[in-house]
Amino acid sequence: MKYKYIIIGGSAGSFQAVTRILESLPKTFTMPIFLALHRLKHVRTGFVEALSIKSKLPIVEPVDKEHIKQGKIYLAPANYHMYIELGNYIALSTEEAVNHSRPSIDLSFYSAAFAFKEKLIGIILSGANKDGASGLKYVADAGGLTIVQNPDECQVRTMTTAAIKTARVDYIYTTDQIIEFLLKLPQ
Amino acid sequence: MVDKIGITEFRNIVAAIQKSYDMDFSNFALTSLKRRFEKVINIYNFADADELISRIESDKNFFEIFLEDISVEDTEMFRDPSFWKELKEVIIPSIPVDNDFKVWIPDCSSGEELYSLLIILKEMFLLDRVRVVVTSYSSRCLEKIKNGVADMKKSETDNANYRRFKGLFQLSNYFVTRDNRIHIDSALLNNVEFLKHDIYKDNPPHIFKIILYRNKLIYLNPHLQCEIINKLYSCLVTGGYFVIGVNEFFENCNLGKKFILINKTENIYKKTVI
Repeated sequence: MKYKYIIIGGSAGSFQAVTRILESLPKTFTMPIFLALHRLKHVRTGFVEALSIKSKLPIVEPVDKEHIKQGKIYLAPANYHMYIELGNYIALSTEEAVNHSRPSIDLSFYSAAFAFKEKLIGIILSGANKDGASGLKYVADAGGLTIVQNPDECQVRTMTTAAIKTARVDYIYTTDQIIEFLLKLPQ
Repeated sequence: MVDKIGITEFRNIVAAIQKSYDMDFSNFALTSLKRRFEKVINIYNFADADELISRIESDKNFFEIFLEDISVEDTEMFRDPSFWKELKEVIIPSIPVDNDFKVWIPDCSSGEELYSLLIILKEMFLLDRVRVVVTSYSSRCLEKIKNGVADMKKSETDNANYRRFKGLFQLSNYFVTRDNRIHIDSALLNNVEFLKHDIYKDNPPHIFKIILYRNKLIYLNPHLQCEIINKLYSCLVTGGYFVIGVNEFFENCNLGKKFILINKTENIYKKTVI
């Protein structure tokens, strides 16, 4: 049971992959999942509802300092960065946008890598800028496992190709392969 | 380039600040502050945390700049337009306008919240009836806010927010060009009190009817969050309003019924009689 947490980053074109991954996970899936997905910053509601439609696991937009629980999915809220803090809780931040993004994938990955080190799996999906590339490098450098969605399958390849160029990537997988991999993880 | 600092180095920096300047950052949320320290180390090309520490200890002017650099907040004018609408249409009209109408924006590191509030007061013809108090532990941040230079990079977002808020005019009505830069109209600032004040250490400067404290708790750990909430509670009139950011939370502070949440979407609290 080496891995205990999963963090997923995505932007343009990632919605489909995220929903497919979430709908494939059984109710018994216990590893907490963090979603750092680019979104419209002035639209506060609707996203978590859209993702929840097919997910068997509860998805929440955490409030600041919310404790991380097993079997729960945490979506970075609109116009905040989402950090994982030491002590197993989440912190939010309104620091400046990184790569024009708040939430920024890099920042969530940076904090999760620091908090969870080799216990973390980082996944980068389709997207239109290079946010997430250095984040995935932090995960790799801290001893975590790194997965990138196969750019050939992505609606927009910029984010995944940047991640592959920047970080040590363990697997380049299609959405189906990512799902298969996650389902095989010992819980 | 120093990529990252570890926990020990982080703690050493915090301890040095405490020792030299009697400011306590030990109960701040770790990640955001650690990132700011890393950022400062990179901006000034320090070789490591120790070099930053010696500079902090030996150079008071540098420390003032450092305090501005670690001010993390990066907000927009009329962030969460629905909150400002509520403030204008419900909250402010519910408060009797007397000679003691004071609003506090504590720990303020940039001008957006202040300017948004002043524009609302102006549109309600209350600008000269309400005293707005802005405090920060950084005199440089206060100067910056007073100077009122607008961040043009954000003007598109600011304008969109103002439209969603349904402001009466154009946001540009409240800005003037001076020395080739866009400034907030200084007439708006006439009744504003700027005060150097460390909310983590000093007593509140006055008694207030509204305290705007949005997206500040997020930079503190749960222990300090509760301490600050109690402090702010103590300087609010009964029936006064207290506002935090939309994703902030302090229900773990065991305040009982000291505050009631009167608007859940915008996180507006009211101080009750107990």
